[in-house]
Amino acid sequence: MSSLAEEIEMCDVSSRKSSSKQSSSSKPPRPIPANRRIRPKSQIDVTSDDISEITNSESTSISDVRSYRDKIKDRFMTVKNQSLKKTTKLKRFKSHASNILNLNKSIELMRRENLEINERIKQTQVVVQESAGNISKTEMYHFFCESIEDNLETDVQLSNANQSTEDLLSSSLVEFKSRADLKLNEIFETESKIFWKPSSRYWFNSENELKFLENPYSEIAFRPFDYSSISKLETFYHKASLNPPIELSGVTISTDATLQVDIQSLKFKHHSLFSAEHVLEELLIRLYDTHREFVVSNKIERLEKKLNALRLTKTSRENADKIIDEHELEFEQHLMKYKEELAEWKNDKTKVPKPRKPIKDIDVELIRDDLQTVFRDSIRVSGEPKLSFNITHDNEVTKIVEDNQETSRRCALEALKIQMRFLCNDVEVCKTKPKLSTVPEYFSIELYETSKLFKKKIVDITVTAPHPNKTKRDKLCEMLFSTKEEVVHKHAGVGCGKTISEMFKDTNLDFNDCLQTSGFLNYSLSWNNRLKNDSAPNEISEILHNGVLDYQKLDDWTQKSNIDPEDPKTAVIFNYLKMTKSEQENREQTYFRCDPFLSSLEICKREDLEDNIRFKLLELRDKGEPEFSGMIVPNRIKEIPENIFTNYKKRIAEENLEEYLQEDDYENEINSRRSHGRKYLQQMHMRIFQMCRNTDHNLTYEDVVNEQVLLYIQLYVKTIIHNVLNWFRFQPNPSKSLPNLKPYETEALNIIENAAPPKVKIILLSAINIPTRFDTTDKADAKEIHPYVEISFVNVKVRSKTSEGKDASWNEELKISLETINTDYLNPNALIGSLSIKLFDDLDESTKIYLGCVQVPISAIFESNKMEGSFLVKLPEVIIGYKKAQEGIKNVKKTNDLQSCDTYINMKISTDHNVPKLYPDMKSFSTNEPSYIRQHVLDWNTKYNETHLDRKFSALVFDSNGKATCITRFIKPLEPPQIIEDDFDITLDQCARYISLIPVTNANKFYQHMWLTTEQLLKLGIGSLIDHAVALMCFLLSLKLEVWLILGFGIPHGSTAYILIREYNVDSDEPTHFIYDISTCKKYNITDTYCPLQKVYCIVNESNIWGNIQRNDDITNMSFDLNRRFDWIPLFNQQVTAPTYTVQKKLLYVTTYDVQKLQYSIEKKLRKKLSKLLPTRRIVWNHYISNSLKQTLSKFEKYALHGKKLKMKDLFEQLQTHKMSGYIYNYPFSNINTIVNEIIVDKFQLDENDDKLEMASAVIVQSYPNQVLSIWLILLTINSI
Amino acid sequence: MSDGSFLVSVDGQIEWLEVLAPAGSRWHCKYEFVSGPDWQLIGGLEAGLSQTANVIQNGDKVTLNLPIQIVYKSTNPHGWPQIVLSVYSGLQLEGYGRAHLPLQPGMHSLEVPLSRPQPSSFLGYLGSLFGYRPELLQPKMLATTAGNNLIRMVSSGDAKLSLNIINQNLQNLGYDVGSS
Repeated sequence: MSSLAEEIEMCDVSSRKSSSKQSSSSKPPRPIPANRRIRPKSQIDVTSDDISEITNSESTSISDVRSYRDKIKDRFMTVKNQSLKKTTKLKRFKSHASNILNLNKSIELMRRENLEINERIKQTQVVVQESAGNISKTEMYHFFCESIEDNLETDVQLSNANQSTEDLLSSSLVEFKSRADLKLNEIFETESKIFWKPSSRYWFNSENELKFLENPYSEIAFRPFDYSSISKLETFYHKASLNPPIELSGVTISTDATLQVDIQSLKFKHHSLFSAEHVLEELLIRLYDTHREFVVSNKIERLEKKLNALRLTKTSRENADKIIDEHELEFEQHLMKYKEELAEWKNDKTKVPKPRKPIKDIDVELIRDDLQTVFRDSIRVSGEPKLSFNITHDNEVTKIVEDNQETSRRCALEALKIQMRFLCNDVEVCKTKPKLSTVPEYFSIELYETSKLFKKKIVDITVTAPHPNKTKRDKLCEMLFSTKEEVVHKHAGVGCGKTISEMFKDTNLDFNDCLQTSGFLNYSLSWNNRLKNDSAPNEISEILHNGVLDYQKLDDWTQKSNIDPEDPKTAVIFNYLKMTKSEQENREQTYFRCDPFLSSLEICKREDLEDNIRFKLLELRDKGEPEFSGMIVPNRIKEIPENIFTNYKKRIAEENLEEYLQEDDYENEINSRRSHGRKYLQQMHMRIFQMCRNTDHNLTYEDVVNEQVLLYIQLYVKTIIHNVLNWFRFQPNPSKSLPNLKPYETEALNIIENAAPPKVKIILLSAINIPTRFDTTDKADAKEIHPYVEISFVNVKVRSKTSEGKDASWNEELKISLETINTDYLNPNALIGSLSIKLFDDLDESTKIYLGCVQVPISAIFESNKMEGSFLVKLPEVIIGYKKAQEGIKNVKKTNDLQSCDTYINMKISTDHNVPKLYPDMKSFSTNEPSYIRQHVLDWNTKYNETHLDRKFSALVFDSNGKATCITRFIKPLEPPQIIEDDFDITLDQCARYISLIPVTNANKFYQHMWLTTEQLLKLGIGSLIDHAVALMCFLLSLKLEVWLILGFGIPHGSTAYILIREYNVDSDEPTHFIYDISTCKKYNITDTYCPLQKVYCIVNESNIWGNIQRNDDITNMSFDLNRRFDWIPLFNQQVTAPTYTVQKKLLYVTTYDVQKLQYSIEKKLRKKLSKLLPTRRIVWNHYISNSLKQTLSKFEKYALHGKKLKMKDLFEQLQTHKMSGYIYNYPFSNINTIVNEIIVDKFQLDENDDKLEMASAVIVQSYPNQVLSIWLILLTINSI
Repeated sequence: MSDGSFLVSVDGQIEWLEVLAPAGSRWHCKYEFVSGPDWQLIGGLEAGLSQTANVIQNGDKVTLNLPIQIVYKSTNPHGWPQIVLSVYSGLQLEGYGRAHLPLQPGMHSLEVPLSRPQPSSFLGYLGSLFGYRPELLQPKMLATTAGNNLIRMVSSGDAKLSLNIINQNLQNLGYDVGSS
């Protein structure tokens, strides 16, 4: 076909060419030759017969050129047209033909496809028919899916091989009538047959709608019951045993594993009844064995080779020469030595004995001979036969022996019986029927021999138990055994305990082996039943997690442990596995999710919420981040300032890096450094608070429910019982009167009081040692002071009546009510601050002189609800115009009442209102301790706290990172600072002074759960009282004092820490104990009545904590012998020792500079504040007095450090000419503002008569290392006389 | 209002208590409102105490008709106010109740179930025979979740409240509380 088309094309080309020729010849007539001349060229190209035709026509029409030309032209045109038509026709034909060809091919393909499909359908039909009886829906579904997939696959395959049928169809011009022509219909027919065939299941229901499966969505929410949540239901795993304690019906218990012991044979290698012959035989066998070993391992051959090699190197003669040479060399050495010694002897004949001359005794011949004989012995004589040995055991034992001894031996042997006992765990297994709960690792077999007279145990053989899974009986094991004993027989038996050479002295057998009873036992051990795995319970608990069978794990387990599926006992498991397997497969197919519905419930994405500044703010506030607590979040985003998160983010970043302690920006500015430290501490407190608030168990029952009345009921019931029992007593005690049930004697007023804000009640009793006036005026009554007390908290002030005298008494009840916000336990700043109880002298109507003050932390009151005792009044260092008690009394005798010259106020502070307090549940916080220590501490602590309700404390506290840490880790000897320049020794008081100059925070007692290390305390410059006590403790430890830290209850600080010091007197053996109170820097004897400590919770040192379990709270009678187990219960013992790694770091002391500036700024601020306070009056500052005061003031610190007191007279001698009033204060430096405020607003009261006021002031700042500053401040009003 | 805040005004009364009231007992009720940090009180009383109502016949309703009026201003609906009731018979606690204020404006009548804490110890149970009742230190804690895990309560009746709620500006801020 194609060749034809080519030809046509060729024609076409040639015709065009001829036409071009024609056009060229259309010009005026040309000689033909010219035409002819060209012709040959064209003739080369043209091969077809058409052209020959043209040439013919040309040749015929030579005569009339014109007409011919036209004719030719016409003819040519027609030919041309014809050929054109032909070519187009041909083209069409050609394409048709190719199409047809293609179609043929595709049809072929389709046919093949169809055949294949048919075949497949037939196959599946067969399968379906086979399994038509029990086709499940899913299977149908499977089938359907698969078959479709298969069809698709074949399609793809075909298209890959050739073009796809569809492409072919679309490219063809021929129309198909329908697909039915291609027998495709058959498929549908067969399919329909299959799908509509099963009678029981229909695809469509009666209304010709698709029949749906049941909706898997269930109306009722279902969750598997979690058994582990019920504490009463517990699962115990018992090991299987043969005799079940509970009779279980329907449960078959397999017979337990039995050990099968098969003892094959016993063979002695030696026995005391062996005859000499036996011994020799045994020896022979042994030798033979070694010989055989030689032979087997080709040792002789190897030795031969070695010998040959040696032979090549040395002959025997050479050997001999060598030996001779060695001997000669030795002799020469001896000779040399002799010569030396001889020379020595000649020098000093007395000391050294004369040496002997060595004798040359080398017999060359002898050595040669020796060597020759050795050589000859080791060489086999030529012609000697090679021997190979073989032992036969078939020699018969001679039955009748003449020898008497031998016969008696044989008799003894006949009488001997060998017996075996099989022991297991020291129980004879043969006799008792042992039931073993655990499989022992060893069994022992005892071997007995019984002769005529006695029974003797030969040996214990220990046999290891076979592996529990070993049930097959495998090869026999050989067990060697031997004993040591000495037996001597009269008869031919050789006995035991002798060596062979001893026994056969006459022969030259040279064996040093000791003959001992020995032999070996052939045995085999196996279990008849496979032992149930010991590890099974664990696995079961794993598989049965929360009472739900973990299918996967069960499957793994069964595969791993190779359980016999035929076994009826385990068949259950396999059934179950099979079921669940099929179930799971089903489930995977029909998986149902509610997600599409869930998504419609989502309002927005999580990211949208996070991007929204308002929602984020709300979220953070809800979390209780301190920056946002109490903040009002505006409704519109635009109202929220952009930078609202900066502080928060900064803090978070700081927390992560713990930047503060490395930061040194504040080095120079002491004031700002202090405020920064305070802020930082506050932040730490906040963090602890947040942590605590977010835990579950942060409240105790007492904090939620008011059960105080119960105490009265308890007392009531106790009294009733006591009184009832009294009736039966022989000598009745006086019956007690019933206590008043306080809450029931209330009136209607109480209804209102119930709703009132919390109140603090102070019962003011009396005071002692109030400073007296140091007055020179003549008035008689002026000497007597008129003290009164003013109690203030925040903005509320209450004052008492005025009393009289230095030991005044008031007997008055005062009440202060607090704002409710102060008692909200969810407020981190609740119960902050302290109640200040100030003592004034009512001089006259207008002048009140401040005398002193007691600060009681408000949180301490609410912590204990009750506080009573003598409160130490903190007086200013000097009150000008007044003298303190001790100044008046000279030569105070050193009695027990050492502290009696201080001023005390006796009062009772109580509150009815029980304020809930957060309580850190240490269990839920992360910890630094190893978990076993933590658990131990927690257990011990809860046990202690449960039994001693009023002595609760926590042995775990937070460190600055909020991690629970054992308090013992805070205690470590630390080097105290050098506070006096030229003195290296530091005393207790100086340490205490240094520490007391660090300000104390006024935060809630709750924050005492966080302890600072001493390094942090010094760095922050602020801390709780406990931190101070810990620091002092650490310093004192390095001074080698016997000190402990007491956690206890004291006034006025409630639960706090004191230092216990033990000192030994020269006079008595009994040590004296002292309490050191860091808040006042005072040391109390424990027998002191004014000792502030009222209850001891526990005593702590580096390595242990002792909880106080003494019945009495009384400190004076308390025993401090920590070894007494019924007084003190230790936390750590030999089993659990205290964690050793301390949290304290080494202290670095930095000298403080730049105090002059501070000194100046305080003074300036003080004066400025004063003038602001009195705007109408002119204040004249007396610089002369100020300067002179400054000089005297600088001495104070030195005196204070050495514990001396300045005499007032010396002080003011130069200022006699003036009448003055005022104070000298000493403060630890906390903050300029707080100091100034404290002095002026509260204490410094001015008489307002004069217009002009002359005053003097001076400030001295004494600096100690690490920015610990002591501020001395004097402020006077001067009335010149 | 332009400052992005809305007002919620509540008027109503604590109508009566349905409790086991023996003849001759005297009842009174205390209420307080607890709200979130954004909520500002701009009118009315945050807490109040009712008069004492005597019961004449056994099982009578204790009618108090104690008026309540309070106006809140807030920027966020978070911390929607709740009312906490404490009911006393004489001086003895009879029950606590708590309810959120209704969201929708209009008149609502609420039935607030009352319950009281159980004593924690045997002695407490003994004491309860003689009239001892443990009380909550801060009944407000019922409005939060803190510490609720510690107490066991026992139901003790109902309180009937009728409240009229008026909102302002709530819809302008885009909050849709629906309509009653």
